[in-house]
Amino acid sequence: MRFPPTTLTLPERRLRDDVRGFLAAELAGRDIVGSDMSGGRDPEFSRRLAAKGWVGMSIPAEYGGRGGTAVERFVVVAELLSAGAPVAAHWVGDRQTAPTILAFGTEEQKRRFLPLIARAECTFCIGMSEPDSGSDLASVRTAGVRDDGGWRVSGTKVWTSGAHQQDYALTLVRTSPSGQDRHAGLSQFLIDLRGPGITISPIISLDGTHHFNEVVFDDVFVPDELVLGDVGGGWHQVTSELAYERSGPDRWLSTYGLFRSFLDAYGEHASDSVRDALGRITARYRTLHNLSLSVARMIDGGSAPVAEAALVKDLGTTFEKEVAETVRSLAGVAPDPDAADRFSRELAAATLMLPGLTIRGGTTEILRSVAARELIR
Amino acid sequence: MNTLTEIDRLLVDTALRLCADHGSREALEAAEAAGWSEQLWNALVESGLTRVGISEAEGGSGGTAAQAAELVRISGYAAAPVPLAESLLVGGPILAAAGISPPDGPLAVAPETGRLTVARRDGCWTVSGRIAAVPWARMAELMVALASGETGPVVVAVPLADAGIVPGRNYAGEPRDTVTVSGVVVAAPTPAADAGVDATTWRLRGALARSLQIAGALERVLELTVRHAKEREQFGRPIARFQAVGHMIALLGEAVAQARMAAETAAAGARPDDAAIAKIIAGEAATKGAALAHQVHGAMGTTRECDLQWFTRRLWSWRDEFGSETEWARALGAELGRGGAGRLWEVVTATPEEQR
Ligand SMILES: Cc1cc2nc3c(=O)[nH]c(=O)nc-3n(C[C@H](O)[C@H](O)[C@H](O)COP(=O)(O)OP(=O)(O)OC[C@H]3O[C@@H](n4cnc5c(N)ncnc54)[C@H](O)[C@@H]3O)c2cc1C
Repeated sequence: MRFPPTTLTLPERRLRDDVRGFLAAELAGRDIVGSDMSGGRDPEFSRRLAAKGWVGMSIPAEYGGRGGTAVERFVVVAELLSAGAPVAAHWVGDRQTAPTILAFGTEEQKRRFLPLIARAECTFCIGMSEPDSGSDLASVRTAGVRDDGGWRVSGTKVWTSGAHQQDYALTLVRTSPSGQDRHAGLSQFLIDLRGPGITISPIISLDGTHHFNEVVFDDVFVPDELVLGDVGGGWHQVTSELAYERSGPDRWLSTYGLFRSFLDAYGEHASDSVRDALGRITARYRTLHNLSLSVARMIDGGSAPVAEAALVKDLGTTFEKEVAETVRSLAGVAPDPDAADRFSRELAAATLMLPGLTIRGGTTEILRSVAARELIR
Repeated sequence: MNTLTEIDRLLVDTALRLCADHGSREALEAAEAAGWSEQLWNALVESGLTRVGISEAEGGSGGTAAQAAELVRISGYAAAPVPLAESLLVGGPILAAAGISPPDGPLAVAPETGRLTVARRDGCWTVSGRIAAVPWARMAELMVALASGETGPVVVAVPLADAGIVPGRNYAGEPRDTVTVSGVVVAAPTPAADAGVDATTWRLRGALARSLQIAGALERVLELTVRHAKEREQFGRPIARFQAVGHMIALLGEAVAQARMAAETAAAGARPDDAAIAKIIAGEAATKGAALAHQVHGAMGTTRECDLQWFTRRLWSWRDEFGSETEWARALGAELGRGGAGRLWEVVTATPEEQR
């Protein structure tokens, strides 16, 4: 396993500086707490970002994008998340639905969805997990039954982030019984969440917010034109979709806002132990930035660094939690979600979301197994 | 930087071959008893590998700093018992910048700065003082040091024939000697600024060299650990098949990936932050990686018979040399405390060539 060091080219640096300038103007005066991709949602912001060409960047020009690279997206996303920009509306479409449609969709689906994603006018969520299917995703029971010109879908998805706000769910469905090969017989459907037969109920998170949902499909009709890729090819598609979910800046920046507030509040007259923590944590950020960038460059080079991405995601997500716990123990404030003090508020918000960081998108244990398999090969 | 050129590959292959030729267990044990492998050193000198990265005009064998860094990483991968890191990345380039052509023999580098004082007496320059834990002093002709001059810090090349040397060693038996000089005559010293160094960058050069050695050694430790896990059987199967063991190997892989990325990033650019970061990350990775590798190796790993020890004893030593994680973290942290959030994001995202 090798992570070739790489650096940004001049045009990539220019892009970074442009995004920085745009965000400084956009976010001036906003009171931003946190820096997580599932934090703020502001469709208007997403559309202005899209107007700059910074949503769905990798979509080719013929489908309304700019034919950008994984590294360009890396640069934009790192700036967005570090600044705490409200990215939730376009996030999933940009990160994983667009590349999945591009790789597996029909010409008609590409023409229909990709331009909308690039304008941030159509939003997506991820319909993978179910009450009895978490890490063992191939065990999903939501079932599709063949009907005239399409499929009838019934079943329950859970933890569906943003289903109550987004337009479509890219949903993993069993379309033929699981036989010898558990990975066969799965398909991906693009399901319009506003259609009939769908009940979306909130599941409330630790911090009291409504972030994810239970989505119940009751005999929902999905026309053939919304079947993504091959019927029965869902496993291959969903595992490559998961690779897009891993190793990006979203996997190491979730508590960056908290760290920045810590630096603002405690940096100036820092004790030895605070300086030690500032130095060690910054060193880790720098190194994760470069590892994550290296994976993006490998993707642009045409390789599929699945195990590398899993390794970086494990490193990044365990680090995000360590950051919060380290600054907490050094600061010694009693965090209050409603405090006037910014650091206290950030700490309260971060602490309650920490447990999910090493669960979503593949747990620590699953990631380590993926990385180990490659290392032991 | 992504791909090795033909010349890089030739250098790497030559270095690996020479290290392997002199890297049998008997050879390494003999080298440890003697303090180093003179045979390996001579072979490296003959191949011109001890002066890579220094131009021919300055008495080197040409090549780039990146090639010198790669050779130092390889010397860690091979646990090579020679002062290559000091010659290629610390003493050699500093001497060259000070206009002194580096000697054929090994160079010692004073790890602490300001411990020696240079004075002018009867038209001669003399140097006095005492420095502990000088790598390789007893086999070196010259020790390069950053000393206190009459008007500020100066680079001096101290002839060690006239010095008092008390042997010391690190966990791996590498010489770390105490050097005492009193009125030793030296050639005219070079003002530090003219050689492009100060007290911090001096130590950072050493820190970068040790980080590269750590990255190389950790890579070897991962290879040895994977091999052991696949060969060793318990409960009727290779221990690699146990998930708990697989996860330790994944964590070891993470330590390797971080150490190598941090060290190579620092070597590629000229950002002092990156050298400090490399030593912080490499130091942490050395500690974690060595512990994981030993856990996977079981009792066998705790013995002198197991090859793991050539590398872990070095890792435990190198993490403390030229500044521990704590020393560099505090320095970087103090700088961030002054610079605030803008500086933080700049340090995280800068490309190595971007100077402040
Ligand atoms: C904030 C958040 C947002 C999410 N958003 C979405 C979303 O939008 N859409 C969606 O589909 N899903 C979403 N998820 C769900 C997420 O993908 C699952 O939680 C995840 O795949 C793990 O499944 P699980 O929670 O059922 O845990 P389980 O799979 O039941 O795991 C429980 C524990 O057992 C361990 N374990 C399980 N199998 C193994 C094994 N083989 N070896 C070792 N240990 C094992 C796990 O590591 C974990 O520690 C979200 C989750 C969170 C926390």
